Amino acid sequence: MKVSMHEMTASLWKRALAFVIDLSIINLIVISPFRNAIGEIFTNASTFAETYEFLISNPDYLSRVYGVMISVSALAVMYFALLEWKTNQTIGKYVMRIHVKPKSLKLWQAVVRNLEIVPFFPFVILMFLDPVFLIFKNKRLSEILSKTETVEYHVWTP
Amino acid sequence: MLLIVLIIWAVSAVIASFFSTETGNVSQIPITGVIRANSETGYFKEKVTSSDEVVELIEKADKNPLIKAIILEINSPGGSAVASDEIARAVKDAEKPVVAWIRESGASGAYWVASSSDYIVANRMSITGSIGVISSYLEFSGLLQDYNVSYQRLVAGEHKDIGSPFRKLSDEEKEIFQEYLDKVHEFFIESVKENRNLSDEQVKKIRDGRFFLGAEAKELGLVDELGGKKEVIRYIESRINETAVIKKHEKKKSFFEMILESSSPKTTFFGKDLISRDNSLIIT
Repeated sequence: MKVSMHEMTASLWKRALAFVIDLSIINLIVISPFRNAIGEIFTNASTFAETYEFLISNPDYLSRVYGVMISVSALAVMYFALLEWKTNQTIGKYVMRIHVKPKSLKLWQAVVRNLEIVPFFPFVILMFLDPVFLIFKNKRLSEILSKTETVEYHVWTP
Repeated sequence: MLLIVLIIWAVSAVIASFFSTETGNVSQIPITGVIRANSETGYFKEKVTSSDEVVELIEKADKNPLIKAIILEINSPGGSAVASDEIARAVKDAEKPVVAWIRESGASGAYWVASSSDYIVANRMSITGSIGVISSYLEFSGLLQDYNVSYQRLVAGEHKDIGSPFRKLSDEEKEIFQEYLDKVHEFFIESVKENRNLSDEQVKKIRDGRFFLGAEAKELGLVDELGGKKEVIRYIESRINETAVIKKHEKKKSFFEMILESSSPKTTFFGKDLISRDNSLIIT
């Protein structure tokens, strides 16, 4: 019996689940080490107003929060970019059996396709546009810009 | 894949360690040098504490939920009456415990500030007290005459140039000055009497403007405890019921601000400081 295997665009639910898995890993390896640095906010302020007041009256803390945000987002991008560049997969994608095309992914492509994680202007715009493109074009804007695609192998028998 | 994950985890831990510093639960605010309303400093000017900056630091510490108490680290001979009163009011308005720690000196206006706090700790040899007012200045009319320089007095308003160093002070003007000095002195004494709960008998002993060593000041009721940082911390911990972690808070000047101040024309004139007259005529 002849069996064919070809690549097709990965399904939305597999991509979403892979992303959730990756976020869990990022929470463990990237965010957890920083909890002590900004943990005092959570013990001393429970509402938005209290948090605002806390940060305004403690400017050292505010600059520390910015520093943590920049560091965490840079490390998260590093996680996705390095793994996809070297192996075409993150851990989440490996579990969900999806991967990134083209096979010989360049580093700039791996970085650009993951910039929506950065919570600062102008990259934060991608946070809103990527899902819209994904829904209507089946491809994130970041993927279009980086000329990459997330695919899965589909096995079928004629 | 695992190697990359491990590397990222290690890098995160290293970067996070740079951010993990304690914020502290006690704010230590320095009051060093002459107390003035402005904060202009420069290479050739003495160290000045700006009342604006200190008031801002006190208010911020009072609002900050992490901070449980405030220490005023005082090493000041005093300063302008207005600036001292501004800080004293901010200290009184603070809801958190404020401890004044007098180091080498906490006299005159600096003592006015200290007296507003909840507790005063001074070294037995600290210079404190000096509950008086001074507005002396150098008068150069004789010197100008010797060099055949005359002062052309052009004023509208009889007392407009009162206190000018270029002419003698008249008896009437001396009386005017003295009246103002006595008023400020009374404000000063009233504040200290109220803040320290002093009797009239105690006030009589301190009102002549002399300074006291810390040991004498304790006997006179001007200071609560003799000691240093250890005693300050012990008192604060008894008030806040937790271990005191002190963090120094002071207004940091940016590099640009320091460069601007050092190149200010005023910093290059030694003599101008001797005869400059500003609004803070009355010094406590």
